[in-house]
Formats: sequence, C-alpha cells, structure tokens
Amino acid sequence: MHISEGVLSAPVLAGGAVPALLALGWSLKRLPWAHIMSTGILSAAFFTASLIHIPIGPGSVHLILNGLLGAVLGTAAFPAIAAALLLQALLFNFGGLSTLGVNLCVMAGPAVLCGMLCRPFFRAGCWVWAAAAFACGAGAVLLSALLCALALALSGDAFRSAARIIFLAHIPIMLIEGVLSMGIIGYLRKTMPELLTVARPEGGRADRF
Amino acid sequence: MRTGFDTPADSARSLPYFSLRAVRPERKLAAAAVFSLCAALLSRPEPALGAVLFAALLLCCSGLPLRDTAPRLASVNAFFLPFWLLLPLSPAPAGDARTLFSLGPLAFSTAGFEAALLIWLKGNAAACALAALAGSSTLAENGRALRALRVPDKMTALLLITYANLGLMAREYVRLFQAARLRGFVPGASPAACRVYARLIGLLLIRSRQKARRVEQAMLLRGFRGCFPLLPAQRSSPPAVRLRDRRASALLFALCCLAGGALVLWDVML
Repeated sequence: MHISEGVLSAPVLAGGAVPALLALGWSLKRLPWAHIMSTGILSAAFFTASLIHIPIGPGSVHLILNGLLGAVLGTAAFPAIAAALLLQALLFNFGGLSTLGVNLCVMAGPAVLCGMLCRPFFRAGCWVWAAAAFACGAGAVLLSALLCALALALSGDAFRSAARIIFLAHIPIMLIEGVLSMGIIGYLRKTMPELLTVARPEGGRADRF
Repeated sequence: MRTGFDTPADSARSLPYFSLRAVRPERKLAAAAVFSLCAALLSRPEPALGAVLFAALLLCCSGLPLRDTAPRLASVNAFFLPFWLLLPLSPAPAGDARTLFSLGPLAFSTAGFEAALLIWLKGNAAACALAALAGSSTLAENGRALRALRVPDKMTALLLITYANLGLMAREYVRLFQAARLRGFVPGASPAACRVYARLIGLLLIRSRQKARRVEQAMLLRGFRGCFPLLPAQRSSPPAVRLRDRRASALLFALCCLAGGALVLWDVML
C-alpha cells in the first residue's frame, strides 16, 4: 500500500508531509506517557499481523489492518503507524524517508477516521456491530487505496493508469479485510471487550502524565 | 541477540573500521533525509543516474556485507516491477507518439519507458543511501539519533518499544499458527480459514494487551514518572578518535548535502 521513494512529485510530497506532521503532533500531545507502553506493544502486534500473507490462488495478499488499528488505538494510531512506517524504512528499506508524510496520510488518516466512526457501534446489536466492523476494515482500506491512487495520479499523467490499477488491485484486499475485521471484532467482543473501548489511564500516578 | 527484525548493522558480526559505522548516527540519518529529498526532486534521468552512483559509492564505503543489503535492495526493486510494466503501456502524453516497440496490440511508449526509468533510478538512489547511512547503525542507535534530531521523546520511545516487542509478537504468532496447523488448519481465503485467521489475530491482540498491562504495572511499581531515559552512547574510544569521528561525521553530512544540491542544480540546468 505504501508508496516507494522516487515515485511522487515534490508538491505531492510536501502536500502529504504538512498534514501528516500536524496530525502526528496533535495525536502525540493527546497520547499520555502512561499509554506509550501499551500503544507500542499493540503496535508491534499489528505490525506482526500485517506481515501475515493469505494465499489466494497462485499468489498471496498481505493484511493491512489499519481500520482495526484505528478502532483499537484511536488517535494513537497516528504515532503507531508512523513508528511502523519508520521501522519498515529502517529495517526493510520499504517506503522511505521522503515519502513518510504521504504514506502516513494514506495509512493513518483512514485508520483514525474509520476507527473513530465505527467504534461506537461495536457494542450494538447483532447486525449493527457486524456491519460497523466490516465498514471499519473495508472502509479504511478503500480510503487508503483511494488516497494512494490520488497521490500517484497527482504526481503526473503517466501514473494515472497505474493509479487506477493499484486501486482495483486493492478491492479483494478490501473485502478480505472487511470479513477479517468482522471476525476479529466479534472475537474481541466475547473475550476482551475493553480493547474496543477508548483507552483511558487506569488511575493512580499514571493519570498525571 | 538477533530477533529476525534487524538493520544490516544489527546483523553484521564485525564491520571493518573504515566503514560508516564510526560516523555519528544522527549525522547519517540527517544526511539520508537530505539526500532522499534531493533525489525525489530530480526530473531527468542523467542526474538521477548520478544520484544512484553516489549512493552506490556510499554503500561500498559503508563496509556492510552484501548478503545483508542485497535482499533489501532486491525487495525495493520488486516494488518497481508494476511501474516497469504499466508506465510504458500507458497512453503517451499529447504530441509524443514515439513508440519503443510493439507486442501485438500492445505499444510500449518511449515516454512511459523514460518515466519508469526515472522513478527506478530515483528510488534506487534513495534506497541505497538509506541502506548505507541508516543501515550502518543499529536500530537502538537510530532511535537515539532521532532523539538527538529533536524528534519528540514520545515518538522515539514508541518506536523503540514497538521494535523491542516485534520479535516477541512474531514468535507468539508463529506459536499460535503452528498450533492451528497441528489441529488441521489449511491456510487459504475460504470462510473457515478467514475465521481461523481472525481468531489468531484476535488472540495475538489479547496476548499483547495482557503483556502491556503487566509491563505497565511493573513500570509503576518501579516508580515510572512519565519519562523513558535512554542510556547515553558508550564512549569507549579515546578523545582523539572521538574527535576524528566527529570530523568524519561533519564531512559525510556536508558531502551528502553538497552532492544532493549539485544534482538538483544539474537537473534544473538541463
């Protein structure tokens, strides 16, 4: 999903970096120190889950799970995804430093939006939570694919057909993510529902940080 | 100890002294960011080729073993394959009807080929520079370097905590996955397989939340007051060597900035 270095034009890179920095600064301010550890460990779990490859026919697709990340972490998904993107650049050379802003907008913007919009419905009745969970998983991938295609299309006329094909290639991933999000949220509703509510400091000294 | 998620410097057992290992990590990260930005601004293949050559020189000077850097660069190049296939087949811009070659009904345009070549060169230049400059520091050093570059403390702490737990979470997932395989799970995209994947990921999230709670409680018991102090960098080398390393760091940073600036200037003048 994330875009490699060298592909995007300078105005698109700048247009992605500015909102990404603003959103990152805002979400870091909202994230209390007491939640850094749990955010980091959950971020590591999501990073691991995003490396899972599901075989489809002769190939395979890897999961993104940004909608679920937004639902579990809320606005903390911004720094969590920024950390994951930075780790991918430093460990695997995926993405890069100049595209970090655009990639953060592409991945984290839809994650936080879909997570915050859908999370209130996860405790509702039988079909409402399922629809919200599907919309959270599939919607985040849909919006990310749209933003990714938009960034490519704005970088030059030559990328327009590539942008269209990249968007179409994400449709099966979108459906799989929607179904998987439904399954994961259904499982978490039964086993650990507090993961699906807004995280608050659990009292004591941590409240002050 | 290797976790499976390492930079080339983490993986390399012993690097030669002349490598970029001696250069200060914050200078290397800043140089990589400046050079990547300059490479992203290029719009002609000639300066982009110059950027690749400079980045390749950096990679050679880094002294990193090829067995660690080559797979990373190969995976970066795999990202460019779709562009090599799609861009030459895209409709050429108005007034540019040059065709490189035709394959039945498919016409490969020269403009599309040039666009693919340009992004491939720019992408490889940035990737080689990042592999040489950031890859020659361990991830812990890079985390400390980010703090030295005034990245907020919360962000660097989050990065290092995520990294510290990656190996643990990956091992936990492999354990859960193997247990599912032993019970007859066949990976695929069928509804039954999706249900198992959902439970595996759900279990992974629950385990991570439980671990986070245990760690948070342990931190509070040890007097956590909202700050993660990082240990200062080890200073085992004598002052004369440190001074030489500081000069080398400043020289490398200046060299990368000059090279990036010269390439952008060349691109503008063409």
